[in-house]
Amino acid sequence: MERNKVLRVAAGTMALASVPVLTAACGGDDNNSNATATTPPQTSGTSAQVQTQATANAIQLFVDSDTVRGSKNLPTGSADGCVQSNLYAKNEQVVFRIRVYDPVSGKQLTADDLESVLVTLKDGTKLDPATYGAHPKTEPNESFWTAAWVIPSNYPTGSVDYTIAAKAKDGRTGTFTQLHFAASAMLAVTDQVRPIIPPTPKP
Amino acid sequence: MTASPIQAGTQGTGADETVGGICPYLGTPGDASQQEEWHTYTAVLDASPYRIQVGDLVSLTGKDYTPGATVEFVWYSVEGHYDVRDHTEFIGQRYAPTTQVVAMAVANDAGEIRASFVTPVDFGGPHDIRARVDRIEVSQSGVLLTPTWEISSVEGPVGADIEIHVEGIDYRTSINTWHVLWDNHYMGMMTGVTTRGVATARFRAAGPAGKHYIAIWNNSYQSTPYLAFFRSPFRDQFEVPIEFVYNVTADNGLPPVSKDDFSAADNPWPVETVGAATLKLSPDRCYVGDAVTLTGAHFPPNTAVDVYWRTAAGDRVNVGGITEYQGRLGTVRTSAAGELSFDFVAPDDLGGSHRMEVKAGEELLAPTCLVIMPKLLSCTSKVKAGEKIHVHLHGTGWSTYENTYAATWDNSYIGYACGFSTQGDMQFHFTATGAPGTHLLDLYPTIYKGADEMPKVYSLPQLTYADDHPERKTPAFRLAVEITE
Repeated sequence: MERNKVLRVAAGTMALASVPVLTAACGGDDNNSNATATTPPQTSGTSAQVQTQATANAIQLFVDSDTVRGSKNLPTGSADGCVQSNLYAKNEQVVFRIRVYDPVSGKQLTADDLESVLVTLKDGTKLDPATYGAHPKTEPNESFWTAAWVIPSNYPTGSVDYTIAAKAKDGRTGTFTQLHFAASAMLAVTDQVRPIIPPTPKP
Repeated sequence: MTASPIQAGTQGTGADETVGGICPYLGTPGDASQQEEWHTYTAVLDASPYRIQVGDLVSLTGKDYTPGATVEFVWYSVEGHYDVRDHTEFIGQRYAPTTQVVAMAVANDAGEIRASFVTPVDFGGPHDIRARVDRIEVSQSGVLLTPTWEISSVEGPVGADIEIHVEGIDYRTSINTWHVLWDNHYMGMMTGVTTRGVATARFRAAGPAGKHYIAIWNNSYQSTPYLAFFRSPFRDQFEVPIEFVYNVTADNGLPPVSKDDFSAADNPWPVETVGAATLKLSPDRCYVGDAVTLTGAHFPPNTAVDVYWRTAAGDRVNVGGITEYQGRLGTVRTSAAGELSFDFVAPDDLGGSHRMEVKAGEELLAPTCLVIMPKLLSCTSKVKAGEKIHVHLHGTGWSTYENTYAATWDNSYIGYACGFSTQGDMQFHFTATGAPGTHLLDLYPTIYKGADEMPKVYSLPQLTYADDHPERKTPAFRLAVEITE
């Protein structure tokens, strides 16, 4: 049998071609950081068309988020504080770490840029507005938005869906909505109930 | 001789044609759970116990429901599948949310409910249970499903079949890959992606006679056991390691050479319908060198048509990459009734599905596919320690899930071999080691490589190949070698 070459596929080109788009859609983290743009980014078209679309999308903000365990009700000296997690016992504190970006410039937006960053749970609970600041307080540190939530001892066991809505002072908005997929698993509450530790009285 | 170009995107191009703007980890864009409307929970639901295994009874109690309301209890889970691009390039595992009603109850006059259900055979990990009234979810609880393990037997002679069965492998890709050690030697991995967390590892008892220790460890981040699991961030999810003791009773000599017969499930790739013409292959799956007859109907009458065979050449380790070829097997003339019959010998070529096309000139009249199955040609059966063992197969494939076989020697993983760059002719040699007696050589299907970095399931013996191999059910080869004095 004679053979004629009809197609060549270069080695190493089998990876997803639209990784940048997918990273933007998923937050790029396999733990629990899943951001969705309000309008899916365009994946085809001429450079001019893409640029036009990007300009149109500039009214939206990119919101990225993950969760870490807060220090509330952790024993003194516990190493679990500020550790990224998506499984929490009741009475534990979930800290939402939030970064909001201008999708065109890539600039991270601060309290000078944003009017509000609000976390809302599926059950309607609205957390106190997120605040912008450095974490930890001493260097080396990094600045981002945070909102905290102590899970009530009678809160339902299971997944906790939430959204984060960011609003800029110039009117632009952006929303983070948690996706359901096994690679991340969603934020969830276990049946464990951590004992409440009263705050230490200050001298 | 002429040949028509294969259109880009029809096979093996790697072009991005299925994703864009949606998360690739979601199995079904826009599924129901993504669109569900949020409602504030108005009732309370408790599920007990929290840690459960498949088959356990789960009790549901609750309050604050509307008296007389019919309450459905919905079990939240996922379904898994392997994402394989163009039938050949392994991408990774994908999961899509699913739900099923597992129990129902009617709220009493006090607004209380009570129900129970048997834990379904399903993935391990956290599962929501939500109560639903009139299609609206009104309360939620959750459970953690942990895996259950069992072994088919605990003693037998060298070469005896052993199965380790697990139900409840986790759906979280960070902890859904299990690794099996035989006497602290790496044997292979277990997965349950397409089987809802159910997996059966198939292997054989290796000598010498006496006790042997099987340990099953978890790790998705690397392709080896993680030995400090009891202190890992996942330590609360399930027990690790799982351990069994197997007593090898005797060495009764070489067990017979065998290969799984998966031919019934080894279906050719589907092809598109082009026009009225139809093709049929008999057989449509065979070994290199087998006689095959291609018959067709509804072709243009009294017309000379060409029969083409498509294959690939190259490798995945050089910059040259993969080249697809299409060659003419021969020419046949259709009858006055528009029928054809064409006899040929299955080419000595790569295993797997090969597209065939019947054309009149440049016009495609009808396609079909023929499967070449892997076959053992020879393996050394008697040797002294220190001498070479030679293994020879042909009909091995070129896709990322059938191009390599992983070899274990006495249940210890020693490496893998590929037959792609040699058009399906796989040969390898290694040195015999061990005491005089029977030694086992097992060739397991693998997933050679993939786009996803994690779970790291690549180029490992897949002990659960029979139920959970990507795309094509691929056989293992069971060989044995006698080492003499």
